[in-house]
Amino acid sequence: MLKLDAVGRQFGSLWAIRDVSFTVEAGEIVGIIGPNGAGKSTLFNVIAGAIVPTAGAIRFLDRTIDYGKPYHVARRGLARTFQIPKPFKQLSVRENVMLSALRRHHTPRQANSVAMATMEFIRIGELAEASVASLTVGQLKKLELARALATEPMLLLLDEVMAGLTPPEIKDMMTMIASLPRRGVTVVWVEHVMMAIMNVAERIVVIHQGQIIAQGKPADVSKDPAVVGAYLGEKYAYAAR
Amino acid sequence: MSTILQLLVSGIMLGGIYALMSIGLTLIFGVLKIVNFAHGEFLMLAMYAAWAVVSATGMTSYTAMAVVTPLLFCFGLLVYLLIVRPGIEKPHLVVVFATMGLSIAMQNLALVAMTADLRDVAPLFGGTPIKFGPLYFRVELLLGFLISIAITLALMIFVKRTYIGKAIRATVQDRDAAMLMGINVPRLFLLTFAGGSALVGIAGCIMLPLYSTFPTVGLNFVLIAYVVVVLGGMGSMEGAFLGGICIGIVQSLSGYYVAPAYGQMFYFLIFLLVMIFRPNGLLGQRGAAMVGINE
Amino acid sequence: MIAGQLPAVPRVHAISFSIAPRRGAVSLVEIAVLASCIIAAAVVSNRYAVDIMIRTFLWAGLALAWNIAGGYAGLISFGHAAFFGIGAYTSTILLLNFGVPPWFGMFAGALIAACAGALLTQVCARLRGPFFILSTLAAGEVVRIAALNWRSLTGGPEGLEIPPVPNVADMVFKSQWPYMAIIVGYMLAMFALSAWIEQTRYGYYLFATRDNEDGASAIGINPSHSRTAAMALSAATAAIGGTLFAQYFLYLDPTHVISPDISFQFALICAVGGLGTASGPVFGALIIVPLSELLRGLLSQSTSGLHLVIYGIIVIVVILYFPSGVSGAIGRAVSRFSPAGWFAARVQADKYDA
Repeated sequence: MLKLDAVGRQFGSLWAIRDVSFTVEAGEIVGIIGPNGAGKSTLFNVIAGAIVPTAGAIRFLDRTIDYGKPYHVARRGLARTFQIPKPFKQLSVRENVMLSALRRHHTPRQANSVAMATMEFIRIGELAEASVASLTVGQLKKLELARALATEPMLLLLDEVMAGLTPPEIKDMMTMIASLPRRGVTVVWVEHVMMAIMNVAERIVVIHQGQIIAQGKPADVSKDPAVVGAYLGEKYAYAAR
Repeated sequence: MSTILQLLVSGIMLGGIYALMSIGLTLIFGVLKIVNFAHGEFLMLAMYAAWAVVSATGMTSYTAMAVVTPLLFCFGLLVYLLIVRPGIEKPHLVVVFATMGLSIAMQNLALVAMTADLRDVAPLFGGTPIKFGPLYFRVELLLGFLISIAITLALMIFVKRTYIGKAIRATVQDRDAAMLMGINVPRLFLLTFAGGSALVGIAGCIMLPLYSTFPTVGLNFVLIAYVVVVLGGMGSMEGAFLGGICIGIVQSLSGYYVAPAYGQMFYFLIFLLVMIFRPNGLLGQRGAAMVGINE
Repeated sequence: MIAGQLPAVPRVHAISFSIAPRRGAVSLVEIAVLASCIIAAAVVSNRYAVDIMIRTFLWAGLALAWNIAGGYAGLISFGHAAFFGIGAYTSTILLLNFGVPPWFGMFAGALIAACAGALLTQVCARLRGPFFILSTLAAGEVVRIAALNWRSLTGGPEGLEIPPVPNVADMVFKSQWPYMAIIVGYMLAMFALSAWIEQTRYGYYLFATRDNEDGASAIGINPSHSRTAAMALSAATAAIGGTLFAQYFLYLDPTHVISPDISFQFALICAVGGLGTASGPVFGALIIVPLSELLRGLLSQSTSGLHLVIYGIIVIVVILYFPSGVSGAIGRAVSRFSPAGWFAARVQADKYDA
């Protein structure tokens, strides 16, 4: 479904990501982890078409994506959330979600039903008429997710959706993300909440200093000495044993 | 050859004055992240105030600074308390529109009080230019340039060395972080706004002998000031100085080589051209023109 | 995610009603205000009053045009007087030099203004905030100075005069009522257009682009297209208002038609009435235009400009204390005093008490 081939992006003289290659098959949940500043956000921006790569190629559904045109990429069925939520501030929660469905469903009326259903699924249904300004960080994260899902994507990029959520909410969110492939949504997921991503993702890609240092099953990756050294730290390495 | 040299030197001098005029704006913009649409009218007020002092007492425009600068400081204080502070936490358009209302009120107040007549002051030394080798200088331009340089340098040192200066630089970079570091941000806003206005007061005194004063004089200069802010990067005084000098040179050269009929278009065209081709500023810093404010 | 797999949801009605102005609903306050405008237009016969009403409705229509760019798409333009002037000058030049009736000439003006608006948006594509605003101001001034100097086309500072010979084809009338009818029609058409925009996906694309460009691109909206389309439509409709202005006053000069004051007036009417709503510009014009005409009438004997001083101060006060404008204030007042609103407030209060 998604294929990255030696993708790199340079800012000035610094390579934020370099020589990144991996593929994502339909129906997978792929987790991407790495320390802060590893290049995960740049990677997402490149895949979503928001940033033009300096090197390499990205193919989505067997076609090269339109670099620098995130709206074309989105229309082809790739949705994303933002690490820092980017809601439409002057609109209600329902309108925010409805907007995503408008491209496929044309009238606000039809899009509304998709929005309501999506909000129920994400469990923010009761917030439908609330203004975005009144939401908590956790609710904003859920709104981000609802907005991405309401575009009815084939592939969903999740950027740290767990940050700011309470433990019960994280549990909820894990179940929900795990159920996405059954709904026909493939997931690529950047996360710092290790417990969540290690349990839900089927495959983990570890990025360090802009390059992939390991990939594989969560259990294998967490034992990889390079990974432990670079990122997970003693605590998790200990817990994994 | 000496024509070009003459034009370049006058351009640099003009640019120094533009820089002084823009520093207040770049500070206010950088620290408060608000747009003061009445900045040009502040300048207009300063020029009228200086003119009033000069015609009433017969002192020179430069000594009038002693009166005009505190006056503009107080005026800035007043405007901050009455208009900016109530609007600063609201969507940024509130301050835009409120200062626009202020600009309309001030322009028309000037029209009512002073009529649309052009106000000028008598030139120093009967208008005889100073001669350096093949170059001639208007005394007022030279004086204005020297004062501008002196004040800009003093300000740079102030901002580098003093606590308030460091607080200003910190707030330009990150308001929230500055607040966490114990900087009294609301008071800094007040000081910056009033101080920026005082700088406009100085600029007004320097510009009074060079330009005629009339109620809408601010519009031309506010555009120049914003161009300089963009070219130099917001909140940067070195940048404002560099930007001012670039614009001064461009104006000086274009005023001579391009038909003077387009003279009044200069301010607008240069603004548009800079915005279109150089929105990232001269040094390619993170584009001041491309960030929305109060995000 | 496929919609069919989702649980059933309640149907949303095609048209919903509300008391206060609200997006996506027909509001009783709006209907009442527009109906009283129409009734007043039909009933009032005092020449001075009719003149003020015509100006008010024209400005309401123009402010609605500005609001498409400024309110819906967030493209605050202080150069709209240029589009207004392009409309006025195009139809007038076509009429005077080629005998083209303004009924057609206004669409020519609209087309040129739309192109100019699209060009301006493209050229300023990377600018945000104050820099976009000032660029539009500068562009407007460039047009004004060009109009002042291009004497062969625009008549320069002396301006253009349409001969006051009544003729339906030339859109010149002896009595006021045809003008009133045309201008009320313009205002209602602009209101309907705005209300339609608010309820279609194109309108929502504009809101999304205004509120967050990255967010908009991420869900498949091309922000550049939205911005350009909004500005072109706004410029075209303002140009049509320009033609009506020229036909009503029968005189045009760059200093009065393309001045930044005109652009400020558009923006301030919307800001006072409520940005980004269909009712805001109408409310704003109903307050601001008669007010400034009244102030001008009261104060013009003493000194010119005094009315604008007061006007400026009123604008400051309204904007600082009613940031969502009159329209928003009405919404809040209705929700506080209406039975439903009172009940909702009680429920909310109980929730916090508990």
